[in-house]
Amino acid sequence: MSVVTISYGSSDIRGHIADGVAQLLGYKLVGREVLKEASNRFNVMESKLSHAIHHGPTFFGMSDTTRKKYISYILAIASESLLQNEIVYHGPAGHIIAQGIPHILKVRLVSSPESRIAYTMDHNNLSRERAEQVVEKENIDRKKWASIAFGINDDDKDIYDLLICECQIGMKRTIETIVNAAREKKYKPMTYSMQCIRNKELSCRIQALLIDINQDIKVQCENGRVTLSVCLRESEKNKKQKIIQKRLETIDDVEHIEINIIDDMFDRDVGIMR
Amino acid sequence: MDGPLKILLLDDEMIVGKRLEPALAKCGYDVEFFSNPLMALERIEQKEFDILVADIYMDEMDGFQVIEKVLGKYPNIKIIVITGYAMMEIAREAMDKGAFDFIAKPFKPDDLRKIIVKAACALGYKADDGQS
Repeated sequence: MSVVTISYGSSDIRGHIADGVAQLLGYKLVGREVLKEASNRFNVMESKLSHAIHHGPTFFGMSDTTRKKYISYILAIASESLLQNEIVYHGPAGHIIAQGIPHILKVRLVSSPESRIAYTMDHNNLSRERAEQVVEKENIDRKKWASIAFGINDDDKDIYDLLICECQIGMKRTIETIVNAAREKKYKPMTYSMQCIRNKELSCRIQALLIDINQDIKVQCENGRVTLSVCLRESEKNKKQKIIQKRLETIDDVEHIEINIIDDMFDRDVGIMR
Repeated sequence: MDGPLKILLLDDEMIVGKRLEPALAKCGYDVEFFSNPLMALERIEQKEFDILVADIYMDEMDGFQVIEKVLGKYPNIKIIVITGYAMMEIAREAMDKGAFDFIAKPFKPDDLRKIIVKAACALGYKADDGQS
């Protein structure tokens, strides 16, 4: 009756574990189709969405604004997927959305550096030296995007319920360990946890809807009460507030809106100098 | 299942009982309210309840201890935990100890009523009115 999110600490561990867990539990498997659905819903190429979450920022690469926009689209679809019960989710950002939600078991699969290097050499036909560079870049990219997009360290063990090194115990025991954990009573959905994920989903949906107004807009929802924190220039405050109100009117689940405007410091200082 | 659904409501905030007891009684349930967990346990020794609605943080004894004691005596009772300090760890602990559901305060009486209906169904009562 629970939900399992599986995230991968490296590219050598792939969906076969999630697939095995879903089969044993009799749950639905949700994975890459999240990107496809986000691509359809928000009319952005899937490859661009994938780039936004798999590659760290570079000087000439994707802009911060675009990346945040794409990530908000992905989070909106991912959180919608997590509203379902009895799923094994191994798509993007599941463990991040699931923070604080009691009925979601958050699993992190990791492998030893040696195993990752061996896999990269074998899979991509690379020398050991080159494979080490690839693995190192993968680490840096993953850390960067998790930190930029969500302000967390993706490798922080405290954000997971289960951390498994598959190369140590093998695939069969990894699957069994996850299945046994998922069957524990503490991961049973309850009214409180379902409300938590509904709040999270609504926040993500609204964030995606308003991200073009301000890339750093903060959205918090609690039982239909929406609190927004947004940094706006004096000259645009009224206009943008009206746009926000108008857009939120289209969402049935919104019962009350509170907008906290944060003064744009740069705009204010420039105004004083003028 | 004979007669109306028997519910024991336990919360050290009197206001909770004042609001919920009449709201649930209006649905046809047999409701008893206690603000002291020790007295609630005494009552449970005398009478078998179908559902226990209990707070977690109380002075005399915490809700987790109450859950353990009550389930030890009546394994089939459905326990609904209500708390103003809902957090992931507490929610998980409550479910792990055998709670049927967990809801954060504040909530509307109707939210609790819906959970009670679910619990009643799990006990074999009819869904509409808590009567057998």
